[in-house]
Amino acid sequence: MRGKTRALGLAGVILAGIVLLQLLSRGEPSSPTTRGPADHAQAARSPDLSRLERELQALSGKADAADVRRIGAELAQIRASLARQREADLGRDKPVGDARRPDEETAEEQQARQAETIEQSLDAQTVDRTWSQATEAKMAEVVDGMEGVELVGATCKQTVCRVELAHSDPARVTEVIDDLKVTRPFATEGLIIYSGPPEDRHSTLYIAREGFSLPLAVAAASP
Amino acid sequence: MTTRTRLALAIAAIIPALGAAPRAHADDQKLYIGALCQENSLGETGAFLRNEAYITRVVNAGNGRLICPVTTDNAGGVRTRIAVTDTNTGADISCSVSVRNSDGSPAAFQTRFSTGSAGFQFISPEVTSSFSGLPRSVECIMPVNGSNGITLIHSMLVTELF
Repeated sequence: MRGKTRALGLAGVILAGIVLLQLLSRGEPSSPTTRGPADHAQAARSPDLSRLERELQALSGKADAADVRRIGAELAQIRASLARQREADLGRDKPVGDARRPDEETAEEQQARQAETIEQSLDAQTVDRTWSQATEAKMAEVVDGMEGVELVGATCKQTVCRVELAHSDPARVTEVIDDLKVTRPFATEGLIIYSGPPEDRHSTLYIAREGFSLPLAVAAASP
Repeated sequence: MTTRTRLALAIAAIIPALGAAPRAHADDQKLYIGALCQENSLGETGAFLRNEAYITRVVNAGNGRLICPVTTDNAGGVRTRIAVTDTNTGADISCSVSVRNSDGSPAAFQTRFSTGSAGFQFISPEVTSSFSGLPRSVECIMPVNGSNGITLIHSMLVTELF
């Protein structure tokens, strides 16, 4: 009973200390001009947290073993939570000149980044021959039946296809793509990249296999 | 210090820790009735019947395309939940969420279909990627009602993802 009481008291002291540290670390507004990665590293390993950990280790031989394990697990969870918070703060504090967050990119940059991610996935995928051949043939058939567009090439692998189109009628580019996106096997999920001058418009469509999603880069959360 | 005091101390320490946990962002949701969807081209006037409960295509004119309401405040994703009835065994309702370039051309999309055997159902196309400064659109294509059955669009829930 005494061991359990001691462990409970110890848990209270440790948690109170950690919460205090957490609140203190949140109390100061993070400013890119005044706080750098080194400051965050220091906050990550504050003397108080180290002291609490040492106290826990010193007392672990006296308290009930189950209680110590539980307290240790809680401490680990809190440390992990603090580490995640610090990472988020570091991301926000990146100085000007670093790679920009996705929500700071232009739409064209975001599209290019998504296309690059899909291309990498396509390179890594093996070919599901039955599905890819049938889908490529069906795509060619659909495009052949449309005006103002020609199929340059279609490559399907396991879950994604890359379809390249040449648009002979610049006035119908949007209409063609809008028609394709509601026609199977295009009518799943797609990303479209346009290139070339208006009189020689080309588009590259990345189309997901039915039942799958495009392997897009994860969107950043808004700050 | 008594056991009770220590317990109180421990609880007091835990409560602010819970309060300090990161808060989730609230997504913005809008509910629209199906009758707010508009025909996408001239010549379709009269092809669709509207009332308070649904929009349905009653005349085989035009291409059956509807542009449905969506208003976004930011560059995040859009998730939809469209309530439809489909008893048509010959064709399905298709609904797409698109991200549009500044010139109106589709930059990204997801299309989902209803199924004729399910009757009342939900279809949920969405675009979750972030594309800065580009508008989103929701479009549906309805087959015409006839001997194969009918299709109705009742309402749509549009969730803007922050």
